[in-house]
Amino acid sequence: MNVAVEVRKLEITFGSAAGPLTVLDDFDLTVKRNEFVSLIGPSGCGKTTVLRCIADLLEPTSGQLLVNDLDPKAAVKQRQIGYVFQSATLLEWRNVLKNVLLPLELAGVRRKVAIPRAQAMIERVGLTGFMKHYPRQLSGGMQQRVAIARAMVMEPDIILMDEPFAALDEITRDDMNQWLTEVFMSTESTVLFVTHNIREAIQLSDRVAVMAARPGRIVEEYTVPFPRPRTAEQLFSEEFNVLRQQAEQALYQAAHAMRKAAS
Amino acid sequence: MTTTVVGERGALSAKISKARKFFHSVWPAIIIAIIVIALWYVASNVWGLPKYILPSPDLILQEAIDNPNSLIRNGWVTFVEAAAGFSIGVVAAVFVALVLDSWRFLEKGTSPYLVIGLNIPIVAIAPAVIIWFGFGMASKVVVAAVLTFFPVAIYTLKGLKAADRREVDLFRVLSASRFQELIKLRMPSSLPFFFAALRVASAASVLAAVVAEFIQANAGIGYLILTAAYTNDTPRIWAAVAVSAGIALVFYGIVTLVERRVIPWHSSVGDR
Repeated sequence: MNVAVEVRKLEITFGSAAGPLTVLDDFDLTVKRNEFVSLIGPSGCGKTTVLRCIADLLEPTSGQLLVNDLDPKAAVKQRQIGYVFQSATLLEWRNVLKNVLLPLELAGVRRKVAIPRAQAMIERVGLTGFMKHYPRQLSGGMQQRVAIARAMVMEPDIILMDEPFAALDEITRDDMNQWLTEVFMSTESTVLFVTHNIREAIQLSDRVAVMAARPGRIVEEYTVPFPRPRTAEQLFSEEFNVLRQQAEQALYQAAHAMRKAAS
Repeated sequence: MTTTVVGERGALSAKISKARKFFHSVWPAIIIAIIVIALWYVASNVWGLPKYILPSPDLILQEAIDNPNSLIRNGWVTFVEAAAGFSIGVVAAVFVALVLDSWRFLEKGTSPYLVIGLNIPIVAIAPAVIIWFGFGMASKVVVAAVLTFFPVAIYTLKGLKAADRREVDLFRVLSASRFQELIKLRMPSSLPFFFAALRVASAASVLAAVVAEFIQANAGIGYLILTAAYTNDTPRIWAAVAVSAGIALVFYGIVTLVERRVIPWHSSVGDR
């Protein structure tokens, strides 16, 4: 089986005071095993909604959703999904080690096994010296790295990331992206990454899907041809720029159409 | 060898800087107290404020030195009443909050009455409680427990629902059971609320005991104040007031110390 996430004809409609609001309609997406796919689109186009459906935090109105050939509820139950939220969402009363231990604790993994696993994961995100630190003692970038370590400690097949670096400054963000590429290369996981930063999307992904809004759907898809690890030369190459411009144009059109629809 | 010495010196200087920090945080309060007492002294002894309105601070101190036994004995009674009532009230409140939290119907059905309970004037219920439980300490314990119960139950219940929505989502994605969510997320999230309520209740329980003693008692600070008032013994009244304030302060201090121990991670605990 080569497909990690399969979304077919997904529709989400919320009932609101102003009448039903269709957030997603006819949304199709396939993510292959060990693939890194980015979802970009204007704010409010339903990117997060897609992730929430995959993680069973939201019930689709209609359509089909398969995660490793399971429905989302079963996939969550089998702990196949890791989720990194927009904010780090660390528990402030737990130190770094205990935050990363949380998924193992909830899964009933014995402490003897769990602690070395959590420690190894913290080492991988480069925070070995900070195990006893509390979240408020860490910078935003470090907090987000703890959140990523927490999402990966159960070694889920699929990691969903919802603009994990949106709150970081440009320099830290670049740094985190490079780091994330390294981590991704050293694991077997599949990543679905939501962002509205085109450069970030291309830099990280095998494939970039551009969404339009109202209703949210995928309008354009680009395959990123650069092999990993990606060098600075590639990131400043003509080919990268062309790809970026194409995606930018698609994104611009999507946002423009949205504004037109709204007026 | 050398490293040990350095370590000890480090610990000592840490202790000194801690003491200095403490001093820096309390000295403004001490200065204010000195100024107020000095003004009070001047008002009594120079400007001629009559003794029956407010006795001079040195007279109050003199009273405390001359008759320490009755202050200590009655203060102890009030202390025990308030402490027992506070403890019973807190245990009952936490139990009720947990039950209501897991039973939606009962929560909805009782929440308006909890709010009414929070606003019960002590003076109104104390006579009835004294009729039920007698003139002794038991009735005062009950009044203090009632006044502790309502704020602690209401705020703990509120705290149990205060977990961040994203944190709740996190627990869902991690496939946590409802019990795990309660123990590992909602109970820790409720602690800041719980301690805020404890602080309110710590003062309220002393107040409750004293007021209940006014109504009918044979010992306690309230009893002492009442008997002193019959003879217009104002220094004695004010000495008793000082003792009751001291008891409330001790309670508050204990709650604050425990809070620092239990939730050092929360922003309500100073000193980051």
